[in-house]
Amino acid sequence: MIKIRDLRKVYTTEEVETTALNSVNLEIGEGEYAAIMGPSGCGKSTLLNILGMLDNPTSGEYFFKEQDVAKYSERQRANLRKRNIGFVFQSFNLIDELTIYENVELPLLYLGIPASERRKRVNEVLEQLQIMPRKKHFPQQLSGGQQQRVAVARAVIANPGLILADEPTGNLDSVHGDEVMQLLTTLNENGTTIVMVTHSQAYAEYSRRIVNLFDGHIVTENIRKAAGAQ
Amino acid sequence: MLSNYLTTALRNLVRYKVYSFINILGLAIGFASCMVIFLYINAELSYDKYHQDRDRLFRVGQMEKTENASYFGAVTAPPLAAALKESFPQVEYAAHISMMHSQLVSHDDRSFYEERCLRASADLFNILTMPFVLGEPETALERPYTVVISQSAAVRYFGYDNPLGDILKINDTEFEVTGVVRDAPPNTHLKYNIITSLAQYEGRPFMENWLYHAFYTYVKLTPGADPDILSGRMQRIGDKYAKALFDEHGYTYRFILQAVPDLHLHACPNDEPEPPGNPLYLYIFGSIGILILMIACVNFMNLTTARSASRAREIGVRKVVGARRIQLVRQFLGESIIVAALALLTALVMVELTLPNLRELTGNDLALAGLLNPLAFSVMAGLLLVVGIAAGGYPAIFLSRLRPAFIFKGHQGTTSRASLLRKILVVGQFAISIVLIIGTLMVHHQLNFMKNRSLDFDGRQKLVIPVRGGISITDNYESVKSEFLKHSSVLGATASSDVLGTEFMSIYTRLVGEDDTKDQSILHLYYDGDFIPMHDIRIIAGRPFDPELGDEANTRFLLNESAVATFGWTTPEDALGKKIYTGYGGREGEIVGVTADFHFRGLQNDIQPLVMEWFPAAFRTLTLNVSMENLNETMSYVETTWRDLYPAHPFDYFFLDEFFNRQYRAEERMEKIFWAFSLLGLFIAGLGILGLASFMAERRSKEISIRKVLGASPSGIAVLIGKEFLGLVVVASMISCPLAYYAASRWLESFAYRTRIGAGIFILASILAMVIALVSVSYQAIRAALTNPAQVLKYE
Repeated sequence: MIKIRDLRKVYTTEEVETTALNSVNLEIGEGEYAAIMGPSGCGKSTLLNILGMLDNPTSGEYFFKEQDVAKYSERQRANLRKRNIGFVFQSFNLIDELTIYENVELPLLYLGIPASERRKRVNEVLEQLQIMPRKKHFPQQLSGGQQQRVAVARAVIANPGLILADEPTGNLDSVHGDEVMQLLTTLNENGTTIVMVTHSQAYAEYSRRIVNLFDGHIVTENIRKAAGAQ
Repeated sequence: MLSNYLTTALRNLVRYKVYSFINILGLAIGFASCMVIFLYINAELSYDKYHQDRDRLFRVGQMEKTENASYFGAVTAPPLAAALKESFPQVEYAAHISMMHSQLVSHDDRSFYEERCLRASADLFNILTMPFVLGEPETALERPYTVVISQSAAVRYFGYDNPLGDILKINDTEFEVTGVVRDAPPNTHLKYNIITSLAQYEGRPFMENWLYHAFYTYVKLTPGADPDILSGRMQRIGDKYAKALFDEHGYTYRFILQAVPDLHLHACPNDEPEPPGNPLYLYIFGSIGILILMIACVNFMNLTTARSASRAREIGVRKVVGARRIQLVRQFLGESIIVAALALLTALVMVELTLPNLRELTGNDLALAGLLNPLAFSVMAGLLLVVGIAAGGYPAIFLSRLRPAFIFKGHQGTTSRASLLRKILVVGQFAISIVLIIGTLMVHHQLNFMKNRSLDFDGRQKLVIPVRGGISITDNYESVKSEFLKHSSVLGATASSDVLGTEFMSIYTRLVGEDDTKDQSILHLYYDGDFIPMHDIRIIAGRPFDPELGDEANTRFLLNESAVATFGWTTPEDALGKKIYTGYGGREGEIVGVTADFHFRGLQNDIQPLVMEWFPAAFRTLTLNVSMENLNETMSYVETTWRDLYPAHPFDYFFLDEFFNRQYRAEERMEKIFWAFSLLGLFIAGLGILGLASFMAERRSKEISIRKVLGASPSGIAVLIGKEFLGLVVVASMISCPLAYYAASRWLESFAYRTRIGAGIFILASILAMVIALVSVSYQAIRAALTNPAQVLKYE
């Protein structure tokens, strides 16, 4: 699904040049569950942003489903992204002015799905993730765990093949963190590819593969046999 | 999708109430200003547009030339109308009308002085649209001594009875009412209450006199006729009828067609029946409206970009889930158009609520109905789009450009470029406000200057009584004066043709012995021997009129200093003993004295040459010098005396100084309008700063807290925030002062006598702007200074 070769990302400000990623090579197959780990500032989020086409690499190749997307325009990337990738963020990133229902519905709006179809799908997902009773509430009225569940609902609503999760448990206590991890595992079991950035060794263990980043390089990779066991 | 945008927009408005309030209120004031100015400009432009076939309606003006002078006037000779109709097939109708001084009109026991009385030939109703309520327009003015009256005049004299066939007395002559027309609308250059026939004058010599310039000539052209071609051919049409007469008088002229709908704003410089409009004021007020709206738009732009930080996450999320940039641009533009629409509705309410005051302020009959037509709707819709796009465009483009990767990393939506732009915009806002304040102060100064400057005559305590309605004081003015002088508080009395402060008659004048190609058009004022001492006008050569020396019986003249110069004499003494000939009655006489120049017109005007003569046939005004003590008692004595003298004529009076100052009404109005708009401008700019300051305090809360932890005092913090804005206002005043200086000096050029532009005005305006800025910032600055740093830093 994802193939990265010799990827480099350099941030340039007026005075300093910072290399966030350097010579990164990575392949992630369809249906995989990979965790990216590493200390703060090692380039995890940058890698995730590039994988999610929120950012362009400075150099190198990025093939997404066999398409070379490294040089895609913003419009092309937006198009590809909205059909194929769902995002879950540490800080949930729900829109405060929209209700839970409206937040989850948003990706379908940008996909141009008709209203009746949208209603059906949103209700299904809300039901699945057990947040149906909250659908008319606003994000601030929910607990962190509930908000992250809404974020997951929003990420999966368009049935994307890939979910990118950037420290999805970072703002949650362990009970809610476990809940979210369980949710991701279930999604993976149903065939969704998942790439997750995490600080927590424990949560990384949910994945089948751990990629360790340090200073912009991949230092080690562990392939694990089974997912889900702690 | 639309409902999603709408929902987000409305919830955002409700959530950030203060910002929304500032945005909507500021924009609403901006819109309301524009609407009011639109109504005013529209009212000015609507003059005489209501006439049927208005494209075919023209008035004929006349450019007269002698060797020494040229004169473009609206009045022409009586035979012109008939001559035009006879000579040019493209003239379908031609009418001539003359204006009469106020007339005493009566029916039974009701009598009133009527202004706006016309004498008109029958074709008038075929040219200008004056809808008949009663009577037949074709025949109404055919017979002698017939009169057509306005509806309100009909009610005044006849109540709600049918007045057709009834008799109306106008200055003791009886007229038969043959028609009632609708009242003249406020937007016409030719207002009327009473229109009498001209048929009774047919065959009189003056009606055939090509040099008797007292009639307005109107024509209606046939459909399709080209006015330019006619204009070219008719320029010298008088030659066909009276060439010998013109040659004899060395009289040169050119007739000029003026389109009726243009007459209000492009009036003749002379002889207009109503005070015309001034296109300059339309430009000035139009610009002010746009400037105020710009200030309001800047608030909108600033607050939206400033607040982009709080919207950044939403943008990031929308992009992540698939929004394209153009969709975000549309969303934000849509939001700003929604805000603009709310502001527009608020503005409509504001305009409706303030209309009564505005009518008084502008002197125009403004109505909200003026906004209920396709033109106004399209202007408003256009304004909405322009403001929505102008105010929302930058934020839309700016916000939609943000990259989600940056946003989620904690980068805020604002950049240093955006904050520089905000500063530039604030400077622009304050620069506009300061220009407006300087404009206000300038108008105020000039008005004060004009009102307080010596007019070189004494206008105080002068009670003026117009003598009209057919009364003549030519033979008995001395005895009339003496009746009033019997009261000890009436200190003096004089009779004259005109009141100082009105437009005098302009008459061809030349030196005796010179031929009439040397004629100059010079203003004339006629008065008796008491005028000069009572008005304290200075004599600089010769002597004033003296009854002992027979100045009344023998034609003798006084000139003012300026007239001496136009005759080419170097000293006033040179004029003494010279003889002049004046066209009014064709009289010759000696110059016996020269007065110092005095301001017989408002100080907008230069002092023009003036010829003065003791000529009782022209007396139409009595002026009494009254003591201000026991004024009530004196007034009742004067009124009783008038009633004894003229029982049929209502008593009417005014005081000269008040009357004279009425010439400054346009400027007074301008001052009030300037005040209103500069205060509004400052208010909106202040609101904007208030919003920005609260945003800044919010953004810099961490910095402020760290500073406090490190020992900064609350006052130090307040100064930190305040000084940033103060700096911007200083820059604004440096930009606006030269601009305002230029505009003010251009405006002052239109005054013959003008105040100096002192530095004080500029300093005062700048200080005022700074005070407003400081007051706006201070609340936020103090609040920021007093916050507990521990609380802020805990969240970081």
